[in-house]
This record gives sequence, C-alpha cells and structure tokens, in this order.
Amino acid sequence: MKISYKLQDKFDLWIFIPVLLLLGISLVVIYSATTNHPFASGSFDKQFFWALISLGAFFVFYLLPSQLIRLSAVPAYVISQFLLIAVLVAGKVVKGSKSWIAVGSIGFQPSEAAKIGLILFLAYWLVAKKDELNTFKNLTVTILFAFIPTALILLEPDTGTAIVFGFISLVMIYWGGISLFGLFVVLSPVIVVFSSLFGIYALIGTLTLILIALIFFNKDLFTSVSVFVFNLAAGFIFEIVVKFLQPHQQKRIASFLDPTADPLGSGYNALQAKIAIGSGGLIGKGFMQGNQTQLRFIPEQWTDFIYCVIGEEFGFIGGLFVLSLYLIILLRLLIISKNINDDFSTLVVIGVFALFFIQLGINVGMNIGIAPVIGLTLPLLSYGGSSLFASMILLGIVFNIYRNKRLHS
Amino acid sequence: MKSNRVLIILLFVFLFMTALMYKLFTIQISSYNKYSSMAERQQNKTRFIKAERGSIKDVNGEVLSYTRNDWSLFIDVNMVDDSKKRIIAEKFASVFGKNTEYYLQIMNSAKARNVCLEKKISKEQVMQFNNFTMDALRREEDFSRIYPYGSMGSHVIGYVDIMGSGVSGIEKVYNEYLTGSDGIKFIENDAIGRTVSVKEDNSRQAVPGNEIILTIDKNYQKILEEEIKTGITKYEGKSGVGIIMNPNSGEIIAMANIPDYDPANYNLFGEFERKNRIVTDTYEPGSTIKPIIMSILLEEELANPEESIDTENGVYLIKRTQIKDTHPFEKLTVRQIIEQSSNIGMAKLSARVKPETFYKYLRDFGFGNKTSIDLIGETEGNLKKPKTYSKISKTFMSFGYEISVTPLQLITAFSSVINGGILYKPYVVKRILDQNKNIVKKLEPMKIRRVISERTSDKIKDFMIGVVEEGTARNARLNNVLIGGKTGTSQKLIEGKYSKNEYNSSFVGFLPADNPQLICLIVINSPKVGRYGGQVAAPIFREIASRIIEADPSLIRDESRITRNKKTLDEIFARVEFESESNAQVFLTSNLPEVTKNIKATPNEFKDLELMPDLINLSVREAVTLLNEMNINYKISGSGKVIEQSIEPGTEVQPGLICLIKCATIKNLEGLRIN
Repeated sequence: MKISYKLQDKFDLWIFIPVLLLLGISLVVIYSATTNHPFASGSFDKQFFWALISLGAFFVFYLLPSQLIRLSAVPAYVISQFLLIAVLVAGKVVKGSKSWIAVGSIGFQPSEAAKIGLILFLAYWLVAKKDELNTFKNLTVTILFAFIPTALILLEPDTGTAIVFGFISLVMIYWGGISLFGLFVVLSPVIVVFSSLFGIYALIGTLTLILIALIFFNKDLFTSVSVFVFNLAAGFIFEIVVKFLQPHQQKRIASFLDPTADPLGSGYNALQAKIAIGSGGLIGKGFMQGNQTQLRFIPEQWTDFIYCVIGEEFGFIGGLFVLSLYLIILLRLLIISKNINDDFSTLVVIGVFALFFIQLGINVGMNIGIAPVIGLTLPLLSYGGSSLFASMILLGIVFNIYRNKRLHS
Repeated sequence: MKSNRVLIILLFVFLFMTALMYKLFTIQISSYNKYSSMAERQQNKTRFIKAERGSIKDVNGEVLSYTRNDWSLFIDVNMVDDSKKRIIAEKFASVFGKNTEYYLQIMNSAKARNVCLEKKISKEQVMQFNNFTMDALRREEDFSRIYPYGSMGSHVIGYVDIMGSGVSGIEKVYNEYLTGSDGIKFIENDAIGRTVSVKEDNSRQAVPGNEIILTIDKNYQKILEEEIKTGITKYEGKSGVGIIMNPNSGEIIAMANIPDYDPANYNLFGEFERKNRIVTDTYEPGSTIKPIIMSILLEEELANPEESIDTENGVYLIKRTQIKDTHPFEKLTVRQIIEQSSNIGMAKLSARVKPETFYKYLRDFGFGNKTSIDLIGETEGNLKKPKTYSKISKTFMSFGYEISVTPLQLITAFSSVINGGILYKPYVVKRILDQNKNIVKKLEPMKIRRVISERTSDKIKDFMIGVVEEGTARNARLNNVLIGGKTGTSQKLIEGKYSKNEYNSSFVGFLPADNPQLICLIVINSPKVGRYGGQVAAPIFREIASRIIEADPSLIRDESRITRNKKTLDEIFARVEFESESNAQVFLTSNLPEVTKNIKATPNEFKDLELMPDLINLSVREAVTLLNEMNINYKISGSGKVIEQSIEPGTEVQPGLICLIKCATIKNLEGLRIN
C-alpha cells in the first residue's frame, strides 16, 4: 500500500474551503446585523472568539485517534441524554423554551451536544444490528433510541431541533440498510401527520395513498392492517397533540400555512424576512446597507434569520453563492460517505450530512417562506457558540474519518 | 445497494436545492418590485408637521387669540403588560397629581391600540417624561387655541373647532391666512416606529400662519362690553349690542354682543350667544333713522331747517292711521323735529319725498344690502321697494318702522350722515402680517359712494348736537365735550304684531361733535326699567364715552373741549321753557337757525349792576354759565361758540334786559363766510 502525502488525501479541502468561506461570511453578516443594534453590538466579537475556539476543536477532533471516536459513541449518547434531562430540570427559559444550561457565564445548549451523541450512537447501534435490522424488535429498539432525545427536546419544547433529530435518525436508519417496507412503515406516519395540517381532505387523500401502497407491498393481512391503523391513529393523535401544543407553536403552524393572516403576530418574522430578501434584488443593497436589517424589522436577525441579511445585502447572487457552498459541502459529505467502506464511519458521515441538509433546508426554507418558522439555526452561519462548536466538532469527526479512510478500506 | 441509496439522496438534495433556488429567484428577481415597495412603505413614513396657526391681535398689538404648542401623551397598550401599565400609571399619577387607578382604568378599558392618557399638557409637563424610557409612550404635538381675554371680543375673533380650523368670526373668515401651510417630513423609521433618519432634501418646513391685526381696540372693547353689561343689569334688558366705529373710515373699533360666549368653550353656549347679532340679526330702528330721512329732505331741498311745521299737539291722523308724539308740541321747526323726535313732523315731511327718491337714498345709505364686512353670517335686512309701499309705508319708514336693519347697517349709514356724506365699507381687519412681520395684505378704508353733500351732513350733525343738548338725549350729555346723537325707541315686532311692552331702546352718538372721531350705537333689547332710548341707551352711551375720553384723552383735541358747571347747567335746563318767538326782544337780525330761550330769573337772585363780559369765542355752555351767574337774561341762537353778542362788552347790564347771543359751530362759521 502506497501512502500518499498529498494534503487532499488527508484533509478534504473541498469541504474545508467552503466551511472557512461560510465562517467568514458569517462574521461579515453578523457584523452588519449587530453593530448598530443596541442589545447585540458585542455579538461580532463573541462570534469571532467562538469561531476560533470551534476551529481549534475541529483540529482536535481531526487529530484524535480514530478508535477513540468509535469508543466514545455510547458514553456520548448517555451523557447527552443526562444533559437533556438536566436542562428540563435546571434549564434557563429563553423565548418559551427550556433549552439552555448556564455554565458560569456561558450558556450552552445540550441539544447541540445531543446531536453528536445521537449521530455517533445510532451509527454504533446500526452497525451492531446490521444484519438483523429489519426485524420488528430491532427496528422498534432503534426507533426508541432515536425517540428518547427527540422526545426530551420536544419537552423543552424545541420543535425545530426535534425535527432535526427525527430526520437525522431517519436518514441514518435508511443508510443503515432498512428495507423499503421498513422505511415505509417509519415514514408514512410522518407524511400522514404533515398532510393532516392541510385539512381533512388532504388527510383522507394521504391515507388512501397509504392504503394503495400497502396493497402494492403485498404483506400479510395482519401487518398491513396494523400499519394502516397505526397511520390512522397518527393522523388523529396529532390533531389532539396540536391542541395540547403551546399557543405560540399553534400560531406558528397556522402562520406557516398562511403567513399573511397575522402579519404583526406570528407571521411577522416570515413576512419581514421575505420582504428583506425580496427587496435585495439581484445584487443586493450592499454591506451594511440593508435597511430591513439595519432598521431592525426582523427580531434577532443574526440567529435564525441570518440568511435574509445575506439576501438583502448581497442579493440573489450572494444567496446563490452561499447555497452553492452548502451544496458543495453536502455533495462532498455524500461522496465521502459513499466511498468509505467502514460501516460506522459511513453512517457517521451520513448523519452529519443529514444534519447539515435538514438544518439548511428548514432554515433557508423559513427565511424564504417555504418552511414554517420553527427556530433553527443555519449551521456555520448563524450566531451562536454551541451550534457552531457542535457543527465544527462533527466536521472534525468527518475529517478524522477522511484522514483514516485507508484504514477502513 | 448503497449506490441506489446515494442516488435517491442525491435526488432529494437536488430537488430541495432547486426548490430553494427557484423560490429565491421568484422572491428576489420576479417579485423584486413588490417586496422592495413593501420595504419602502414600512420603512419610510411621511409625517405632516402642523403649521402653527397665526395669532389675532388688536390694533395696538395686544394678542387676542394665539396658538400654544401643547402636547398629548399616548400609550400603545399592545406594547405593555400589567406590570408596565402600573409603572406608567404611577409615573403619570406623580406628574399630574391624579390617581394611579385612573390611568390604569383608561389603559385597561382601551378600545383602540393607542390611548391618550393626557391631552393638551404643557411643554414643562412633557419634559418630566424625558428620563422615562418606555417604548409604548408616544408624545404628539397638540395645539391649543388660547384666548387670553376669554369672552372679550369673542364675536369678532370667533373660535376654532377641535381640528384647529376656524368656525366663526375672524378665525373663519381669515382661516386661510391663519392656517399657514403644513410641512412634510420624510422619515425612515425602524420596526417599532422610531425615527432613524430624516430625508432633509424632500422635506418641507411648515410655514406658520399669518398674523391678523384687527381694527378692534381692546381697551374700547372692554369698556363697551362692561358698560353694556352694566346697562343690561341696571335696566333689566334681555340682551344688548354695541358698536364703536370710526365714521371717517369704516373701521370697527369695538363690537359687543351681550350675552356673549367663551370661545375656548364655545360648545357650552347656545346659538344665540355665539352669533354676532350685530351682523346677523335685524330690528326696526325707530327714531334713530330720523336724521337719515331728514338728510334726504335737506339734500333734495324739500325742507328748510327753520321752517315751522304744525305738529298737531301730539296726535295726527294720516290715511286713517293715528300717529302720536311722546312729547306733544303745537309747532316745531324742522330742526326741533329731530331734537324732539317728532313722529308727526317726520310723517308730514316725508310726504314731500317721492317714493323712488326715498328708496334710492335709503338704498344708497346701504339699507337692504349687506355691508360686506369681513365677518360671517351677515344679513341684508329688509328695505321695501316703492312698488310694494302701502299708503302709509313711507310715513312709517320715516320714523323707523316697516324697515328692518342690522345694527351694523344703521351705524354705517349713520356714519355717512355725519362724516360729510360718504358711505364707507365697515371692516375689522387692518393688516395681515407674515411670520417675519412683512405685510401680506393691508386693508384701507373703502369709500362706497357719496350719499349726501357735506353741507347737508353738517346741518344734520348740528341738529343732532341739539338732540343731546336740548332734545331727547340730554342723558347722554358730557361735561367736557360736545357730542351729537339720536335716540330711538321701537316697539318690537313679535310674531307680526307690535308689542306693547317690549322695545328696542337705542342710541347712536358721535364725538366730538365738531369733528366726529367715533360713532357708537347702543341697542338694548326689552329693558324693563325705562323704555325710551333716551332713558336707557343714552346713559349707557354717556358712561362709555366718558370712560373712553378718560382712557384716551388724545381723542378730543383741545378746541373741541368745553367746560361746564354741571350742577348749574342742570338747574338752568330744568327751568328752560319754550316761548313763542314774538316775545323775544331782538337786537340783532339774523337768518341763522335759531332756538330762543328765556331764562326767568327769580328776583332774589338779583345782584348789583355789573358790566357785560366779552363772550366771543366762549362756548355756549361757558357763556350760559357766566351769564347765569351774573343773572343776565339771554337768548341763544345757533350752537357751538359765541360769534356775536347783542350787548357790547363793558356795557352796564340792566336788569330785565335780554342779551341775544349768536353762536355757530366752527364749520357753520366757515360756511357763513363763504356764503
């Protein structure tokens, strides 16, 4: 075996350069959105500090012995579940959610740590049960492991992050080798729930399609009926769950369906973000020139709505450039995941891929009005130490895997 | 297996990315105009800056009406929770000294988003909120119209509605001048409406309204209002009006309607109190019209001042209608008809005028027409046309019935009678100034027409001196200046019938008589104490005139001043009796208008023989006083100053001898020389 000493062999510049660019853009945009803001003027300095720390963490994880990552999967999962419980007990309420733990003067989000725990542990578990995954028992246990952190986060409540957990789990289970029918069983209730948002006819239509699909799968009667009843129950139980949701979450769901219904209430952010991006036009209004941003029409724009600052100040071209950087990262992650033969490693990489993909999709989606406003950061771009730190650790792990890819092939 | 899954995931990635990019394209490129105009709209607000309304000042620059920049405080109740409401309520309570609960109540029962907690408060009070940071608190300029003298002159000044727009009086007529033009500010504001920057280039400054200088003199106005109020109380009248005017220009110096109203709280008063009855209401002028009618006769040379008219001992039947005089006389001269206000005399004289001529003159005096004064609501009264005259119309009109006029029309016509014959348009605004005190508009006296000759005017004026000195208006006489005037008492027309109990008692007087500087009309409605103009309105006029002269001595030039011993004079006139002309011992032939009097001296008042003093150039009053003290019997002809005396100065005065004194006013004197 010939060892190559080219940098690209040990260190994937295709990911690293876009990541660095995004970090740079992040700082520029945060600077623009916060400098003139009375309550956030120190944000740029903080974020700059966190970017350096996170880059350090990235290199630490890049250089760790690869076995250490594999071994840390179970502890990481267990510890992160404790942290999620701890936050429910002792967490700080920020904007209606108990999602922060204060460690000294620094606040930190256990759900970010739990992302790492979930990805590593699911990879570990799916590898362990690789050949018997499609048994009812193993599938149920796998879903249960994914469900524990998801449910704990829902209790905070932090719907957005819970959706991310669900999606990561789904993609990893899919990548782990679930059968098409298994995937159907897992995925169909989600589709039913989503369609129920659009009224009774959409729900009936979806249930009809599921019925047709069940006939197509041609399984035994008991299984088919159980799956259908499960879907039926999911649809109606969700209706009930919605009634028990926090009022602000109900409003968010309603305003996603019709953002102009209540422009000053829950639809406000969605509409203002759209106005910001829309008024940016092709080339944008220029750095520090976006008046939607500078006049603070969008609350806390440097976190969840950072993408609309880019849209307003750098226009369609800037927005497209950022999306392209993410596309490169996503494609690279997918390629790495495909090319690595080690099961654990490929699952971890696909988990990171799923994380970036879903957060990018929902975040940009809610900025431009094709996803509900559910409070998710845009990885690498949004202001926030925990999020950036977790993202960079995950990328460090991916780069670690990439560095050691020869060991596994 | 893995490749398939990669492909499926790839498919999702591309689908999703395409969706994002497509949506981004539609927002930023296709709908760019829509969103950028939405952004523009919510970021940029146009704010109007209210122009400050101009002030109204009197002729001496005293401010009668101005605008104060008050503020109002609002709270956006959507932006405050209960604890913040309490903080706000406590702050307001401490500044305004009201109950905390009072403000909480207002906020909690708010129906709209913005509630006004305090309206029209002073700048100083607003300053107390400077350190009170609360996003929900909004302060807005809220102008108040202030009338420093309350109800004084309210009918001329008028009032404004809550929007600050004139509703009545000068505030209404000159609203356009007073309003000014609002400024516009283009403001970039942030999400909670705070101003971020002002686009100066497109903004326009507010231009304050113009300042209006009235012809009204606050001091005169005050005197007029006070005296009419006193008079109404004293004579138990229902209401009253008064006007003071400069007869030589038409400038209104004061204008009072009692009862009046407070322009700052106009809504607390009724229609009657608020309207300027001087221009809106008409009445039948009664005897005050006689000098005007008489001027027609003299102008048309249809009567001679010394001509004697049979006044039928006070009762006269004309066309089956009985006409009565209050003071019956057998005979009166034309001059005495005015002095004694004889209806019978007027009725007989007016028969000499053709209806068309009669109408033409009255029309020329402005009756039946608006005076076009710069006040609102003016009515034109009613002047009958000759073809609608009945057989007795002209007769009745000659003593002020069957014709309705506004007080303003009467005083305007009267001015022309005494000012040399020229009808002026009455006006109340002298100048309009802009914010830099530049003159925007200057209003000059406006001659409408010459109605009668100066000669006629002088004669009538002379008659009216007699009214005050010897006739029905002796209650209006002043000690220090000679005045002229005419009383009027008209039965009120109530539901088409002349009331037996209700009268309009009026007096129109002018001073100084030789060179009138002001003319004043007083009309008291339905006095219970006293009835005649001479009993009610004339004393009110005297009070007004004496206070004015006291307040403004420059009004009367020295040569117009007279002195008289009031007590002695009253005694003299109490003993005045009219005698037939044949009794008089005439030492001097004269073609002057002549009133002969004989003072019967009682024997015990006789003193030793004295020498005749030089009376030339003394005023009638002075001469009379002197002669009375010396117990010299006398006869006076004419009025004004003594120009001739029948007994030479230095001559020993014999008891029983009558001294004939010939007098003339200065103008008459000049007229004599020319003729």
